Amino acid sequence: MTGPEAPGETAVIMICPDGPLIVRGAYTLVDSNGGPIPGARRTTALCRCGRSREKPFCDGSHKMTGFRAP
Amino acid sequence: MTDPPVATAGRGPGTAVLSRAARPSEVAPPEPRGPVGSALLDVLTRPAPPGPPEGSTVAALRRWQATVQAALADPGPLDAPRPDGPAGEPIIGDDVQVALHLAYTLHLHGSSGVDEGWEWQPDLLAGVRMIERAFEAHLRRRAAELYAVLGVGVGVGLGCGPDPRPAQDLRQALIAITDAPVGPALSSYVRDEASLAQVREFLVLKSIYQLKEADPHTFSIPRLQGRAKAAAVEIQGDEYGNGTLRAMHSQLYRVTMQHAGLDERLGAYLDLAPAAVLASDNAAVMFGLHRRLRAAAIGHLCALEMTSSAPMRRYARGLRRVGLPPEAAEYFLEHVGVDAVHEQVAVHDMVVPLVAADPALRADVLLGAATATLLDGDLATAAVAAWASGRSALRGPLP
Repeated sequence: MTGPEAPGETAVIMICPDGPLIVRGAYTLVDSNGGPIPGARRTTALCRCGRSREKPFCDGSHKMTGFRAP
Repeated sequence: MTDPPVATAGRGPGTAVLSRAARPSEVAPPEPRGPVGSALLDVLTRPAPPGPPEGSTVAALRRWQATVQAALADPGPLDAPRPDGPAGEPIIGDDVQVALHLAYTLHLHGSSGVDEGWEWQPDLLAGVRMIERAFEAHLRRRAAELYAVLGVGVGVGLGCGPDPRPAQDLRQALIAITDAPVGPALSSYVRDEASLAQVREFLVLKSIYQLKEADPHTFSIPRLQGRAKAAAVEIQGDEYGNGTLRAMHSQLYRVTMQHAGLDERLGAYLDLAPAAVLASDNAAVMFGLHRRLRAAAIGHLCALEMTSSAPMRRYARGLRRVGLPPEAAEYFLEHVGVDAVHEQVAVHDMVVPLVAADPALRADVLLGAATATLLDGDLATAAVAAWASGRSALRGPLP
């Protein structure tokens, strides 16, 4: 947890400019049925550009596609 | 876990007379490629003096320093055409880079038969410093040329370029540098064109750094503070598998090499590695070892993380295309995901807080990123040119 305030009991989400959402802290990633999504890391990058081939995770595709965050 | 014993089998002659028995975890010294490396090996095969050097060791140390000086002062003519570096630049040529690599083993994993007492011997270090000064000057000159082409503002602090948002300006500068077209895309070649033999050569080229992945940058952690330090530790923790040996990236790379039928021991292919590989590796170690260059180490790490995800997927596809098993590609696929995280952590949590706290460090952050870009470009240029003309990218055939 490297954010300025990311205590262990809270999830902190960092919105990266023209990039993914970085999730840190205490969080659980589930699908719409509440089922677990495998592959989450202690710190996870969630796709925001819609072009990742590893969704819901970021795979760096935002750079190749020139994604600009709204 | 213990490393397998490192034998000298398959290595060239010339390293037989050593000052003490090899220890199992150590790596055989590289074969010298010219007078500088020979002069250094002549020093290192002696017992390190506990105090001021005496007897023939004095002469050996003088010869080492004089040889370095002569090699750096005289840019040519070169002994042989070198596909691995721009002509007329002895600082990034085989002889000097092998010597620097050998000198740096004193601070890293050690070299078999080399007395550990040499690590801080001042007369030996005087020669190393001559090489380092010339290497740093070379890198700063080429980085400045790159900034000029790209229109990157060096300056001081977060915002020195056209972008009015300071943190965004530093990020844009790093993106411009790491995206600079300094060589062919090695990853696209491996994905689309490389033969199995060329993929194996690629794995060998990469092994020089990847089998000790993360180590050079770890030296900079005690020199950081606050958020930048926490971010560096988070990144490096992942590199080292967060306490799980199997997940340690260097260990994953060993698995890749095993599945490609390659020798996964550290240093096994040092003598086959062209100067461009050694220069790239040595630059990271130089930045890591010097506190003064801590921001360059961090910029170098940041550039590696920023340029990893997409190429790693291409490498994985290339390995599968030529018929290597899925286990061989695991190292690369792991990096697609983890480096998508690291890219953001490196920029926003490590580099930006570092430069915000000490604006003078901006220039060296960019130097580190430019160095990673330029030296990887040198390697890609040489490797793809060799393969395209039907030659090996290594200095000799794989055993």
